[in-house]
Amino acid sequence: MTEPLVAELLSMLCHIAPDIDPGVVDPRRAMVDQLDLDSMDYQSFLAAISSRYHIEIPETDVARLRTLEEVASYVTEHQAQH
Amino acid sequence: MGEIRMPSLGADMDAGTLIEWRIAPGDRVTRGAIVALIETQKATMELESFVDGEIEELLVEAGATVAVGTLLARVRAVGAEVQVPPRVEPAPSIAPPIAAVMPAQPAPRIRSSPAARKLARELGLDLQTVVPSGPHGAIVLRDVERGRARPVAATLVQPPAVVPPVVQRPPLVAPAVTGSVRAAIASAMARSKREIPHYYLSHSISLEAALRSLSTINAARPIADRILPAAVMLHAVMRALWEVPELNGFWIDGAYQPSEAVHLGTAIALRTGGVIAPAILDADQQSLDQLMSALRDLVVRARAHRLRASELTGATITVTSLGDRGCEAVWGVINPPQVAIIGFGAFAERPWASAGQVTCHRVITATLSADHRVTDGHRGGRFLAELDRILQEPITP
Repeated sequence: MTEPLVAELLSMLCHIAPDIDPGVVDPRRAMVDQLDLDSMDYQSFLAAISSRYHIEIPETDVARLRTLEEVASYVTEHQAQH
Repeated sequence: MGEIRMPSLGADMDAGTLIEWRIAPGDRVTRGAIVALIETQKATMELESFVDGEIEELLVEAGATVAVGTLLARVRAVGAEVQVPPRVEPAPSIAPPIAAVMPAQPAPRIRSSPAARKLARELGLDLQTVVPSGPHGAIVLRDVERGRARPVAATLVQPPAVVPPVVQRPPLVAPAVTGSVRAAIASAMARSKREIPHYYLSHSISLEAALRSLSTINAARPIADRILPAAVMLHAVMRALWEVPELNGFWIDGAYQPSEAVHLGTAIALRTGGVIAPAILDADQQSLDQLMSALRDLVVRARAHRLRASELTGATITVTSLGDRGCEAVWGVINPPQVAIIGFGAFAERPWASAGQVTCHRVITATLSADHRVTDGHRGGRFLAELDRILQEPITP
C-alpha cells in the first residue's frame, strides 16, 4: 500500500541528491548508510516532505526516520491525523 | 563598456568550453547573474557576470572551446548609447532579401570540450565515433564516457559526418566529472605537498554547550529552518579568524597576500567520487542563519554540478568536515594558494574531565593544517583556542 508513496519519496530524494541512482535504493535500508547522505541532504529531504505533505516533523522524531519505508509510514500516519 | 571573459580556474587551465549561453543580446545583467555554462577539466560550472549592464554582443558560439581570457561577450553600461550603424533606407527590391543575408554554411567540424578530448585520448577513442549531446553538436565529457561503455561496432552505425540534432536534456544532471575532478584533486594536492611546508595542530573541544543551545533553538523551528551543527562550526571558524586573520589569504609568487574578505571553502564529498571545496562568499558578513542557508544552497548546487566559477575559485581558507559518521579527526591538505585548512572529525560522546569531575560530553577534534611560511604553531594554537572559546558561548542564530 505504501509502494506508490515510497516511489514518490524516492523521486523527491533524487531531486535533492541528483547523484543518487534510484535503481539501487533499498527502501528497507537506512538511507544515510546506503546512500552516503550527509546531514544536509537528509535535512533537505525531510524539509521537502514536511512541506509537500503538510506535516510537522519535530526534531525528536528525526532519529527514527531512517529508511524510506519508515518515512512512508510516518507520512501515512500523520496525514491520517489531519 | 563591460566584458565577460573565459575565466582561469587554476594554473593548469588553459582553455574552457562554452557549453551554453544563458543570456541573449539585449538582456539586462547584474553583477553575479549567471550568463553561461562552461566546462573545464575540473568541472562544469556556471559563469557569472562581474559587471552590471546590458548584453551587447555574444562573441563566442555555444560549443566552442576558447583560451583563458578570451572575450566571450560585451556588456554595455545601462543607459549608454547603443552603437548602431546609421540606418539606411533599403532600396525597393523585388528579389526576396533573405538569400542575401544567409551566411555561408561552415564546414562541419567536431566541436568538443578539452575534458572530453583528454578522456578520449586516454581511452584511445576516436571522437568521430562519439555521439555529441552538447549544444550545437559539441562533444562533452559525458558523451565520451557513454562512448566508452558502448561497443565500437555500435558507434559506427552513426555516420560520422552527420551532426545529429541537438538533444535538449538538462545539461548538468549527468555526474560525469569523476575523471576530471580526480585529476584536478591530484594536481592541486600533489602541488600542495610538494610546495607547502605544512604544520599540524589538534584540539579536542566539548560541543556539549553548543549542541544543547542549538537543540533549544531548533526545537521551536520547522525542519526547513533548523540549523545543523556543520553551520555552527563554520560560523565559529569565521569568528575565530577575526582573532587570527593571517590564516585567511594566499601564498602567491613567494609572498603572503592577506585577504580582507573571508570566502569560506567548504569541502563537499561527491558521491560520484572526489571532493570539491566551493566557497561561501563573504562568510564573515553572515549571521548563523544566513550561513546555514548559504551552506544548504551550496550543497544542493554542488550535488547538481551547478556551482559558479567564483565559488569554485574564490575560497580564501577551507574547512573540511568528516560529517556525523566519519572518524575522529582529519588532517587536511592545504588547497594552494590558500595557507590553511581546518578539519573537523565526527563528534562523539567521550568522558570529559572538568573542575575535578568526569562527565559525558559530545566532543569534536578540531585540527589546523597551516602553511609554515605564513604562520607558526603559536598563532595556529591561538586560532584553535579561540574556536574553543567561541563554541562555549550560547548560540545566537
